Amino acid sequence: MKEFDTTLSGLDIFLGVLNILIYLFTLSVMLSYLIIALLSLWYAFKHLKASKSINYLSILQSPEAPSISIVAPAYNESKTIIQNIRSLLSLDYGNYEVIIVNDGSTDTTLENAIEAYELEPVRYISPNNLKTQPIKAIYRSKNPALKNLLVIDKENGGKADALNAGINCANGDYIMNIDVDCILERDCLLKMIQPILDEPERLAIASGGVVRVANDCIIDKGVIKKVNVPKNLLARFQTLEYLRAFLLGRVAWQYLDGMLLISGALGIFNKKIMIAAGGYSTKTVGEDLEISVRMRKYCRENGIKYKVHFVPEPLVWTEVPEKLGQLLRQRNRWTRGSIETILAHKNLFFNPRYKFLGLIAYPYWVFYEWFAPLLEFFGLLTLFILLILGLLPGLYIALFLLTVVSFAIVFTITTIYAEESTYFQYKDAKGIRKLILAGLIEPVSYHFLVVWASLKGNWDYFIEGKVTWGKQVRKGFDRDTIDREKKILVSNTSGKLTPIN
Amino acid sequence: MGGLIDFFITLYNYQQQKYKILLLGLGILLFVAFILLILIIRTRTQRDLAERRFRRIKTTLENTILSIVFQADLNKRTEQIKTLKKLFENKKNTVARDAAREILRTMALQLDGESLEAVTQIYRETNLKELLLQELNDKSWDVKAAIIEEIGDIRLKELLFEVLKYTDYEVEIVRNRAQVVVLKLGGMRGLEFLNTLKSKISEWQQIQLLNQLLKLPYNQYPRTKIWLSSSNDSVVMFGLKVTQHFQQYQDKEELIKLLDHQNTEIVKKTIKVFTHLGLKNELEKIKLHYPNYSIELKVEVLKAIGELGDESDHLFLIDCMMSDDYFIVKEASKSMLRIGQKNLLYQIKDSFPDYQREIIEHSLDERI
Repeated sequence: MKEFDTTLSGLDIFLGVLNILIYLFTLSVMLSYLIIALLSLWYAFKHLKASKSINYLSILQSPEAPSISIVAPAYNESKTIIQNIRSLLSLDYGNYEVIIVNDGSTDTTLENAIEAYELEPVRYISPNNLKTQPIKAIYRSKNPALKNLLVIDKENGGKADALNAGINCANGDYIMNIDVDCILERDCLLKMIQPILDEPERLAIASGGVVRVANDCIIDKGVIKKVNVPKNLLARFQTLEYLRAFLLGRVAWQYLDGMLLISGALGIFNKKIMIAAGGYSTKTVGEDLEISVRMRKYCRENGIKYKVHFVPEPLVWTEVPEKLGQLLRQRNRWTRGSIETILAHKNLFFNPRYKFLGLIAYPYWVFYEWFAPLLEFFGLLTLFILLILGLLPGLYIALFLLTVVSFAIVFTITTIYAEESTYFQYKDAKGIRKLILAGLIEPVSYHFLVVWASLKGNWDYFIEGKVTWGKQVRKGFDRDTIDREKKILVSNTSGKLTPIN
Repeated sequence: MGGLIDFFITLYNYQQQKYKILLLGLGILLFVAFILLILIIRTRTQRDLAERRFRRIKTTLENTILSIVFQADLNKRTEQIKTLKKLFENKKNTVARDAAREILRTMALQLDGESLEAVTQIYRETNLKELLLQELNDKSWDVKAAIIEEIGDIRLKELLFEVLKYTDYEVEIVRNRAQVVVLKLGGMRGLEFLNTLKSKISEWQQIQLLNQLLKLPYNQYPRTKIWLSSSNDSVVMFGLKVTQHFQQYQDKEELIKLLDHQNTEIVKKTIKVFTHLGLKNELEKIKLHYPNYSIELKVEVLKAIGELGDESDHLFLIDCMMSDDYFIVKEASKSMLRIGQKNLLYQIKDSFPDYQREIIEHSLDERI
C-alpha cells in the first residue's frame, strides 16, 4: 500500500480525487435507486389498495367510453400476425379500433392477414397530419363483425413512420401504441384509460403500463394462462431487469411526475397532443422515449397543465431475446435511442422553465441512464489498472466491488419481494427460487453484457454514426401454424410455446 | 484549493477506516438480503395458508348462509342467525367474518327483491352492520372506500347519512365511492351535492354516477337545468350527459345557451345532445354558429346536419366541401350521404379539385 506524506505527486492527488469520485458516484447511484425503490413500493401498495375499489367494468358498459385506436406496426411478422390480430380484437372494451400497419414487410405478413381476415382494399384518404412514407393500400374486412379492423400497407419507413401512418388513419380520441407481437391482458384498455379519465384537474396526456416477460409462459388463444420463469438464462435475467425497471422504477417516476419513458410495447396517448407535438420522430431509434419527452415539453411550452400516468399492473407480455446477439443489438439500439433523445432535447438540461422535468428527470436520465454504464466501465478499467500497477490494494478493490454487487443483489431481492407482495404473478415457488438464484449471479455476469452493449451503442452512435434498428428475430406465440404446433409441447388445455429441439 | 487537497489527503490517509466503511456496508447489505429472503418465504407461506383456510371456511359458511336466506321456518332461522352471530363475535376469528361478508356481498349483487332484503337483514341481525360502521369511522382510506362500497352493495339504506358525510371527503377515492353509493341508497337526493360543487368531477366519476343513474327508476331530472347553468364545467358536462341519456327535452333553452360556451368540450357535447335528442327545429340555430366555430366544432355541426338535416341543407354542405380542411370535407360529404344526397354527390364529385374529390370518394366507399 502506498503511503502518503506531505510531499504529494500529481498522481497521488489524481488517485485521491478519483477515489472520492468513484465513491460519490457509487453512493449517489445507490441512494437514488433506494429512494426510487421506496417510493415505488409505497405507490404500488397505494395503487393496489385503491384499485380494489375501482369498478373497471363500469366503463365497459358505459355509452360515454372514449374511443381508442390501437396502432400496431408489423414488420415481417408472418408467423404471429394472425394470432396477434385476433388477440387485439378480443380485448374488453366497447369503443376501440385496431390499426395494423404493415411497414413494407418482405415476408407474407400482409398476405396472411388478408387471407385470415378477408381483407379487401378500400378507398381511404387520411388527413396526413404526420408525414410518412407512401401508403400502398388500406384494407378493411368484408366481414362486418370486423369493422373495427383496419390494415395499412405502406412502404418501409421504420417503426416511428408506421406508427405515424396509423395515427393519421386513427379515429379514436386516444392512441394506444403496441408492439404487434406482444400479448395484452384482456382488461388492459380498461386499466389504461381509467387513470386518464380519472384526472379532474389536469390533462392526462399519456399513460404507460407494466411490461412483463412472456418467454415460456403458457399462452392459449392469445391469453396468458400461466406465468412461468423463463428457462433460458438470458431471458431470466431480463425478467429480473423488467421487474426492477417497472416495479421499482417507473412507478416512482410517475408519482414524481418525471417519467420520461413510456414503453414502445404499450402506451396510450392523447391524440390531439400527440399530433400537435409532431407525432413520432423518424430520426431516432428510440421513438418511444422521444415522443414522451416531446409531448411533455410541448405541454410545458404551451402552458398546458398535464399529467402522465403509469399503471403499475402487469398489462402486456413480451417475448425477450434469448440469443446473445439479439440482446446486444436490442440494447445497443436502446442506448442509441437514449442518446438521440437526450441530444435532441438538450435544452431541457437543468432548465428551470421545465421544472421537475428539466431539473431532475432529464439530468437523472443523462447521468444514471446514459453516463452510468460508461462511468462503470471506465471506473472498473481504472481500478484494474491501479491494481496491476500496485497503486491500490487488491483487498480494497475486492471489498469495494463486493459491496456494489451486494447492493445489486439486495435491490433484486427487494424487487422479487415487491412482486410477491403485490401482483404475485409467479405462483410457482420453484420459479421464485430460480429468479433469486439468477439475481445472485446477474451482477457478475449479465450486467457486464448490458454495460458492453451500452458502450457499443455509444461507439456506434458517435463513431460509426449508426441509425438503423438492427435485425430482430421472433420465436413467435402463434399456435395456429401447423408446422410449429408439431414442435410445441401441449398440455391438457393449452400449448406451451417452447419448441423442442 | 489547498483546503480541498488537504481534505483528500486526510481522507486517503485513513485507509483503515475505508475498509471499515466497506465492511460495514457489506454486512448491512447481507443482513438486509437475508431478512428479505425470510420475508419472501414468510409472505408466500402465510398467503398460501390464509387462502386455503379462507376457502375452507367459505365453503362451510356458504351452505349455512344460503339456508338462512331461503329459510321459511322462522325458529330455525333465528337459531341459525344466533350461531352466525356467535361466530362473528369471536374477535380472533376474523377469517369467518370476512368469508361471510364476501359470500353475502356476492349474493347481494346477484339477488333482488325479498332475497336481497334477506341478505341485508343478516347484516343487521348479526351485528355486521355495526362492524361496518365502526370500520368506516376508524380505519384507513382504503378500508373506508371498501366499506362504503359494501354498504352500497348490501343496500343498507339506514346508513345513507353516514355515507353522505364522505361525499366531500379529502381522499378522492373515498369521496368518489361515497357519491355513487349515496345515489344508490338515496336515489336522486344523492345528487344534491352537484348543485353547489366547487371541485371538478373527473370524467371517470361522471361515468360512475351516470351508470348508477341509469339503474334508477326515474325519467325526469328536474335538476339538470341547474347543472347545465353551473359555473363548474364538469357539472355542466355531467348535466349534458344526463340530458342526453334521459332525453330531457325540457332543457332545450339551456342547451341553446351552451352553444356559446367558452369550453370547446361543452359545446361539442351540446351539439351531440341536440343530435341525440333529434331537435331538428334547432338545427338552424346551430348552423348560425358555424362560421365562428373552430374546425373541431365545425365538424360536430356537420355531423349534426347529417343526423338532423334534410335535402335543403345540401347547398350548405357543398359549400363546406370546398374547404381545404380534410375533416370538414370528409364530414360534409358524409352528411350529404346521410341526408340522402348520394346520387347528387356522385354527380358532382368530379367537379371538385383532386384533393376534395378523393376525400368524397373515400366517404362514398360504403365499406369504410
